[in-house]
Amino acid sequence: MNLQEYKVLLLVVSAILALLVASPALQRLLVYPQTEFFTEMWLLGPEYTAENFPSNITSNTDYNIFLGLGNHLGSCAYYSIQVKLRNQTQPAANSFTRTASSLPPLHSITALVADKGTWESPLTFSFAYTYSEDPVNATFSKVKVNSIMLNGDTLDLEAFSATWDPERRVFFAYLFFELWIYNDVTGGFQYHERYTSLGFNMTV
Amino acid sequence: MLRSKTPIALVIILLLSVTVVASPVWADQGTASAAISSAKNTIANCYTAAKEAEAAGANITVIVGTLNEAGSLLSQAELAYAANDFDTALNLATQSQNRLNNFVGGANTLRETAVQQQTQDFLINVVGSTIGTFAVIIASFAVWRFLKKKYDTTEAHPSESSRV
Repeated sequence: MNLQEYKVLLLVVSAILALLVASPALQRLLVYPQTEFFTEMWLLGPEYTAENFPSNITSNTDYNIFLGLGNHLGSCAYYSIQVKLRNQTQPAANSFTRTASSLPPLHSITALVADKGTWESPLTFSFAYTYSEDPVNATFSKVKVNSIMLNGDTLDLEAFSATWDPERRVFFAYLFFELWIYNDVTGGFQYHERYTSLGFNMTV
Repeated sequence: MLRSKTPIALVIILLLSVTVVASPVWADQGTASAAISSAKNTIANCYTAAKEAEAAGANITVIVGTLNEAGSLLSQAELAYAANDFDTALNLATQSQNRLNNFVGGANTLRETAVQQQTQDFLINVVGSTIGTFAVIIASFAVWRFLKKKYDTTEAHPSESSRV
């Protein structure tokens, strides 16, 4: 082996060794910074899949769903999930204007999630409602929801009613979950521009 | 005379009964409300401490679990308060706060440990690795010098012998 061949061999071996030894330092330098910061919010059905969500419901029957959050904001986050109920005419949260519904929350669920962490909670709920009959036509004209049982807690509703939807031929109500996030600067919660909802046909 | 005093007496009795009967209810409501506000502040403070610990590189999974338990109790306290069940609201808000006793201290300890760990990691991974890389380069250069010297010596000998 001549000196030139030794030189090449030594250069290759040195370069490989130097890279191996430098790898812990390079690992820190070559990490791409996180560029997208967001929160995931999901609902899963009773079988823990995105199907078979309760839709045709009856009074005083328990239904199960799962509500989850995934934090990709780069730091621990303090969330408040506001549970709201609306009928066809009441305002929903708006995805285009990114505003929350003006309806008052029935309940707030707090969730603290570490960065890159997830939070999930099973929700068992039931509606207690009654029908109002139209004496003239002898048909049901209105559904009055008296209360909602959510994970064992009773949420009293004052004067919530759903009227007959003639197009779909149902009494419809929407249970929706708005995501709010704690703002360190203001010391309060602000709407985090995410919500998810379930529509229910309230059957006899 | 007796007739004119009767309404006054009735008003006094009514006021007394309102004071005696109704005031504990208002006091309970106020206490429950204060306890809920206090629990909210405690959770917010603990959240800040947890966030700082996480920013320092600490694993906050366990303490976040504790915070969620406290948050759940607070939610229930708010529900009880909304249902005018102030005793339960007070009890749950107090439980929520108690759950967070020593939380900030624990989070700060986690943060300090994480800072120490980060410093140690920096020394080993960055400083150690940089020094190691330079050592490899210097060693390679030394080996190269040694090989070159050895080669030069072996090259020189045949020429000397040919002269002899």
